[in-house]
Amino acid sequence: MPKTTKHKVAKAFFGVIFVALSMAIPGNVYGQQDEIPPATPEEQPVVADPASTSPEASERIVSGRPALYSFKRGLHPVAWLEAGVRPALKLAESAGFGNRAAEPESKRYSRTSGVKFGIDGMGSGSGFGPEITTYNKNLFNTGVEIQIPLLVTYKMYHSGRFLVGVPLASGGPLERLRLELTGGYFSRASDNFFGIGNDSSRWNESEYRSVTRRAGVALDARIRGLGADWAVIAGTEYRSVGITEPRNSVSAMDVFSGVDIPGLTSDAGARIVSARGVLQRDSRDNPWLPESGGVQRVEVSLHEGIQGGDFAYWQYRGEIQQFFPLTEDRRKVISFVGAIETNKEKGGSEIPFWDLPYVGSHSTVRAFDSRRFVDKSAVTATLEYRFGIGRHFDLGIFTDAGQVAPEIRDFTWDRLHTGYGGRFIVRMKNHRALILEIAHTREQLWKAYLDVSSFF
Amino acid sequence: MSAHSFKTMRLKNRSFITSVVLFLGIAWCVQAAQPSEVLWVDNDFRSIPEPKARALGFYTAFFSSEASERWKKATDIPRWVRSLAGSPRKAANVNLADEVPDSSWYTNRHALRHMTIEQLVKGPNHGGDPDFTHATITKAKVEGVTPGLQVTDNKGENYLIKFDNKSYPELQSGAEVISTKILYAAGYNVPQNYIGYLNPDQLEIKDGVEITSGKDKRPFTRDDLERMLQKAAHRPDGTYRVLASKLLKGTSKGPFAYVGLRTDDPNDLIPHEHRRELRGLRVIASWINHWDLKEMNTLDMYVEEGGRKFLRHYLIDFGSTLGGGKTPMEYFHGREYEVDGSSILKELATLGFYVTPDEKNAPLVFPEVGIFSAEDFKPADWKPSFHVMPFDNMTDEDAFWATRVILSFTNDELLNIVNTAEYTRPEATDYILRTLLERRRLIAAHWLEHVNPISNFALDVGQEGIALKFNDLMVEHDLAGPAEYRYQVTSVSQGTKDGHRSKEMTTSTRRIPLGPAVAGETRVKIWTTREDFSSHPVTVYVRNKPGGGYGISRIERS
Repeated sequence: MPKTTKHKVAKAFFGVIFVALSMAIPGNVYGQQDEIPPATPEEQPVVADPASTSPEASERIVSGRPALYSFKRGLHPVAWLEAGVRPALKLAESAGFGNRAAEPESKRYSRTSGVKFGIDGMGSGSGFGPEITTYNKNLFNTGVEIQIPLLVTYKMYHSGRFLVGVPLASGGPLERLRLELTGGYFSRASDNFFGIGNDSSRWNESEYRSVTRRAGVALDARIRGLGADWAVIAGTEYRSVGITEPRNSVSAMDVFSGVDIPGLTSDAGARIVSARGVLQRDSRDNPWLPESGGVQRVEVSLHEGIQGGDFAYWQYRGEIQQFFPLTEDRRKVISFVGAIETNKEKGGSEIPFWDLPYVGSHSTVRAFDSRRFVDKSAVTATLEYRFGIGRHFDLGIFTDAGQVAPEIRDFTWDRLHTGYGGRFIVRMKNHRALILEIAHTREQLWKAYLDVSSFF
Repeated sequence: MSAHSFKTMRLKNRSFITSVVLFLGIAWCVQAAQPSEVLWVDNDFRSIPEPKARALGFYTAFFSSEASERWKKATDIPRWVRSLAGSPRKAANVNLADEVPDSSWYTNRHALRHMTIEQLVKGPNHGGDPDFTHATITKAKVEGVTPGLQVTDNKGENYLIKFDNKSYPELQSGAEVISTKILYAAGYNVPQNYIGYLNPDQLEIKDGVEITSGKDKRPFTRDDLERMLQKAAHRPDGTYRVLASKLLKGTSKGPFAYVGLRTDDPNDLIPHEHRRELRGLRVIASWINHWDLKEMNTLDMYVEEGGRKFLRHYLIDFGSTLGGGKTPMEYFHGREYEVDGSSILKELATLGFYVTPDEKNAPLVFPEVGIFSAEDFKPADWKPSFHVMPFDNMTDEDAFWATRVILSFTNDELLNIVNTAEYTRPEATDYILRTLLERRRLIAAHWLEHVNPISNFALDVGQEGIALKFNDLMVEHDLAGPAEYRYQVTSVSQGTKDGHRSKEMTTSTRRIPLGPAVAGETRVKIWTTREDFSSHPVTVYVRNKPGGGYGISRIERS
């Protein structure tokens, strides 16, 4: 027999012996005790008592730990994964992450003043990022509330805002009447622009950058009655909007240089004073993940340019959200969300392109590029069927539709842009949610959205 | 093919056959070499150096039980092979009598060592009831899911105090006390839990007691106590019925793991997932609907007993058993995992139209009882809220063992245990008792149906010779009609390997005559046949003892 074959046979031989021994020996090796104990209560200890065995006794039901037990467990790929995940889990535990998430908001921010951290975005296409808010809910014991949120998103959009709420009255059905002073600086690194119209071409994709400074004052009345929360807001605002070229992409100013687009190719940027009135009825059971009720909102505003162009226009907007629970436990919900907006020039003035309504965003028709279609009027609608899966998750199946047109009367069924998709919702405590959405349209195979804002 | 190749192949084949024969031979020899004496104490009480406390947070525990251990199980190929072969891994801490020996985990109590009603009612409690007149609050927790107090009673004993919810008086405390007594009698280590009565006017707050308020700490005041008591159930005389849990002796070392070994405990030799008392706990837990069995509801205590320092392993927190909790438990508990893959898939496939247990409700029986019933209880489908790996490993033998444990309680004994909850409303006591009995009947009917339900073997030496007696648990508990028992007796003389095997006989009595004498070892193999079901055999080994007489030396269930 060749030497190598001999070695192989010998190896196999001893291998089998080794395997046989390792399988057989770790089995139970029994000690030296006598038969089943008699069923007499008096003589038996009620607790397994170490004193009932002599200190020298070493009888064990097994002779030792199973061979290579810990080694085999440690070698498992999942054990490596677990070792990788464990520090993050422990960090979350030590930070009290779960506990904070479980707390109601009133308790989370129960302190009168301080700093709170969260994650938020700046609207369509902005991405999300950390937000730090300095707040005082009762400045000098006057009831005045101040909030100063600072936000930077991962797409480098950033904003610094302030909100001062001065309470004026409350009591009875009037939950509160307060004077609100708002202001802020908003820098949007880039926004899409494809031209104006419902058929604008994707070939014209370009971007612009905007910087907006705002200051406003408003009276905000919140009234509880007739089975809902009512809001009546009347206010005025000053805006200074600057439009510039984006830093690293195709400029809309270049692409549309031969076209008259108010606010872009002519009179880029403007200063505008606005007045607006809002009436809103909100009967939703939970703002983050509603299961019943709805929102109806109408808003009318008048905008007058005071510098940088002949801008003057009326803006009318209506929104409706309605949630219909199909079962008593509200695990199956059909929802309808719709919005319509139209802008009318005042006299012979114009409307800056950056204030026009659009279709193409997380909140309009998903899976189109952000601000894909722009015009003076827009209509959007979403129909969703949402159902609970397990105790912690929901799945939603939705269809979106939207259209822009110069006038409302120009809307036609056959020009609707449509999409569909699904939402996976992780229910957190206190009725909050983490939401992952995937949508499809004719222009994009799929596009994913992650909504974490409700959680923070 | 060359001659050399043929030769090599022949040699290889010969070596292979020789190896297989050797393999089987070694395995047989090792098997045969096992001593036949029964071990009744697994001596894991040896002194060990003080282990570190095992810190376990919710997320870590959740990831372990619901993800990593599940994935490991799913990729355990030997386990799949054993499962397909119908031979799952047996529990590792079972003695030759098919029982669990006493250890720091488990003590054989009522099932093997019959406890008197006084012992059952007393349970783990010793040292008398707590005396809360002029008791002192030493610690307080006002936030969280379960606010509570730590109180030193008049005798200097320390207790954790939990109050019943104002809307559900007696619910949590009643469930905790009943389940404590049942689990103790079943053999587990549990805390001493008492129903106590507190008069807040007689409570003093020790100097320096602080509570956490947000991120800050501040002194615990009488106002805090009053606020806490506003949410608690009180009695007409102004006193508060509480659950007083005596602090366990020793030093807490954190929860024990349901899988693996504690590396810093040299006494810990048996992987926990293969401990029969943990596997069989599934049956016992399903009886009392102890769904909240996450690892954090277990505790290792480093104790000193009999001059030795070692870890004793406890089950704790039974307030959510039966139908209880701070509020009545939700219907799904015991019927669905917290994250139940099966339900999720069904809901996905039906777009949410499959109705899961989570969507169902059951009527509240009484405020003291919560939601606890036997009406749609299916023992095989019972689930804790989080996966418990030993439960997944439970074999028919483990289930049989646990079923025997719960069948060891008589109706009267159970009534006395339920009475320790001191329910004001007699109907609550009656309902809990009836439900426990019915659930137990369903459990026994299920787990005994497909096994050989004979048990309690004993030798009867009479004038006609020796006979082997046994009970049929199905008959004994009115779960089925009479059966036939087929048996075969093999006598093996001392010093020989082969024995004389009798013909297979059949009897309808539960007494098998073995003849006038037993020399060496006699093996009695018994099959139970009922209607069209014939069970696997149970083999009982009878031996003559060195000092004279006979004894059962081994019971083998296959």
